[in-house]
Amino acid sequence: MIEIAATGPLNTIQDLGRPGYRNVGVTGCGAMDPLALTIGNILVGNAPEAAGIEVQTFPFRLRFSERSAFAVTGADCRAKLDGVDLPPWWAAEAEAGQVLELFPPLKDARTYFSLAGGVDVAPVMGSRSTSLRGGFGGLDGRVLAAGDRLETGAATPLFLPKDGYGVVPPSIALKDVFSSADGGALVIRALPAGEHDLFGADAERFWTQPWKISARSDRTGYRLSGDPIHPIETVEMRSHGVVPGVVQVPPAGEPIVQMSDANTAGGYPKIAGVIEADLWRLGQARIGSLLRFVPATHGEAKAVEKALAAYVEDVRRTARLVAGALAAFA
Amino acid sequence: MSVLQTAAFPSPSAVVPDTDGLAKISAIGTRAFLVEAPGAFDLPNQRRIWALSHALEARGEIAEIVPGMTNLLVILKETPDGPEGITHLLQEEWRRAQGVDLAGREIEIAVTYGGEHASDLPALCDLSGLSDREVVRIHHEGTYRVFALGSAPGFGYLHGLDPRIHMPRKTVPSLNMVRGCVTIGGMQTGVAVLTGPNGWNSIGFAELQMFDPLAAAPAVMAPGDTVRFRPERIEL
Amino acid sequence: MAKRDRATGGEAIGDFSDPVLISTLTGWLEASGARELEITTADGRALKIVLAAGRPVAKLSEAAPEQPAGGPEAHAVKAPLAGIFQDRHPAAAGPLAEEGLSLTAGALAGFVEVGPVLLPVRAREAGVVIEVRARAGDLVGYGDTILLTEAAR
Repeated sequence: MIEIAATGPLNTIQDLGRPGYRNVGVTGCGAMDPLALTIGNILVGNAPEAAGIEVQTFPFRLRFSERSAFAVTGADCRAKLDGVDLPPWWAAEAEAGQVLELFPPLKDARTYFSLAGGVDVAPVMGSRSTSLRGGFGGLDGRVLAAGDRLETGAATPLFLPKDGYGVVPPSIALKDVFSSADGGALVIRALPAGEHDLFGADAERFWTQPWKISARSDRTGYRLSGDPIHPIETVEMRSHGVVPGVVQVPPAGEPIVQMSDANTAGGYPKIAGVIEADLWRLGQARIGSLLRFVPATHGEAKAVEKALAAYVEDVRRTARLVAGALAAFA
Repeated sequence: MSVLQTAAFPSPSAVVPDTDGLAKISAIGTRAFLVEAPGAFDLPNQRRIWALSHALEARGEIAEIVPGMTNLLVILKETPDGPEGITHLLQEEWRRAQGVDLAGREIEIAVTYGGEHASDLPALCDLSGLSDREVVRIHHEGTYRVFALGSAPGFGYLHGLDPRIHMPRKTVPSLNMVRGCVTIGGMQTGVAVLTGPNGWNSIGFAELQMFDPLAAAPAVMAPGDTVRFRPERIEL
Repeated sequence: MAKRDRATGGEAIGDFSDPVLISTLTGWLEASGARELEITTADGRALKIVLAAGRPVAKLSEAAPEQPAGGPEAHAVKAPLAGIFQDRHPAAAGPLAEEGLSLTAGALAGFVEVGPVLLPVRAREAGVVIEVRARAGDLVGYGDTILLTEAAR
């Protein structure tokens, strides 16, 4: 069991989401950076569907009630265990009574806390993710608060190196696949969507100008600010299902990118859809930062997915081998 | 979870729209494709969407099917190499899709028309030129079909609203509309399932709980259901 | 000593021609006390490593073959496993240990990189770094001395 000692206002229990219920209006939810949560789960020997804590407001502090392996991945939040620094993207073992502290990251937006066995709350519709809008999932459908006690699921017996271990962060290991900033703007690949051509010359400006992530952005969606774009003619759209990553343009002309807690249906013209393998980077983008969209094809999206999957698989296999080798030494 | 929870049966050919128009098919993400019916926002077109949904259910490469208003979102399990194959398949299935009706349930919803939650009833009277009594009568005498669920857990988009009481969505949404408000959004009506911001216009209130996340079938409504509103009280 | 560039890829542990992998596995084999290791992958590739006869098999309890230079006071900070030595975290700007720097007991002095995994190189005892033997990018074996420290006077 762990106890939340201090937390900002918007931290929730998340897993990889609740797919399959959009047809009854239920949002997918899930980690904004599913890659970070996945790596955290691998490092502590969890199944991919184990739930962790998504920390997006800091400082965050928790106390371990019993000895437990844990991992901190995602944004580098200068984590400390009983005052001792932990490297980013790191797993270690905490003794009962030890306190883990996460501080505001200097870059990136969200940190993931995973622990061996996962955070054990009752799954709702197949997922432990918190749906704040629906008021279910996670811990009673709400954000975490100081004093909350969270049960731990059954951990897989795993030798966690005594001195801890970690991974080369994906932004570095995959730097050729996820090119870093373009003149300070995060480069996000997207496919042109249904109403792209309706924007005429403005569609070109959608791709060329940098967009700033406005303060009115959260897990539901990112509102972008920039030079507005407008369709050539106004079309009355009928409500249709949407997925995270879809870029819609409301009448004011500033796009909205739907994110993990997105509404399941929408009706604004869609200009583009962010490729799924770039969503984790968008999930780490901070309010006030710039991003630029570059057009991609399905083939390119698939190549990026493969590179990402290869990294995850390499971590999974190597972590197991290394843990096994160190266990043999001990 | 199955989109079509009730048995489907072919309807008389008369309900099949007399069009060989192609559906509009577009990518909205790497694995997601939207099929939009050409033509009117009407029951025949929605019946073809239901038929398309039914036809696609058994396909192993599809992860999720989400019916919308005369459209269908299809989410694949894996990113395709290109859009051509799936687009061709969806167009073929659309061409083949004969209108089906869904043997839905009949749902009666008790409504308090007017009163404290009917915040937009006066504006609807102004817009329509009708008295509040007429607006209420026209609304509760209607028979509605659940076209699709979406937007919020268990929210049913109801088709069949009398054109006399159509009312555009608000440009500035109400910030805290209460769950249970009976609302009108354009040519659609529905019952709010969450308390929160809402751009539709409220004319009444219903107690019925539309969604229970812990139930085996969490949503009360399903596409194809017939909905009637019974005026339990009218406070004007 | 071999240098590898992280960006070139090909660091999947399944690549049996990889010298780092072979070296890593050999190190583990030595440490485990076994003489022979055979691995077959699902696609039928196989790797067999046999330790040369007569070569002393190092057990962890006996693994202190090197006499650290720098006098009897010196303490050797060693590689926990075979891999590529890195003197800093890949996301960090500066090295963790340099000559003259004080390390507390348990302090991080670098990392050994095995594919995408990072293992910490930690000082067991507090001391001042008197010599850094491994350079970033060096292939190191299990138990190799990374650096030497001396108790502060």
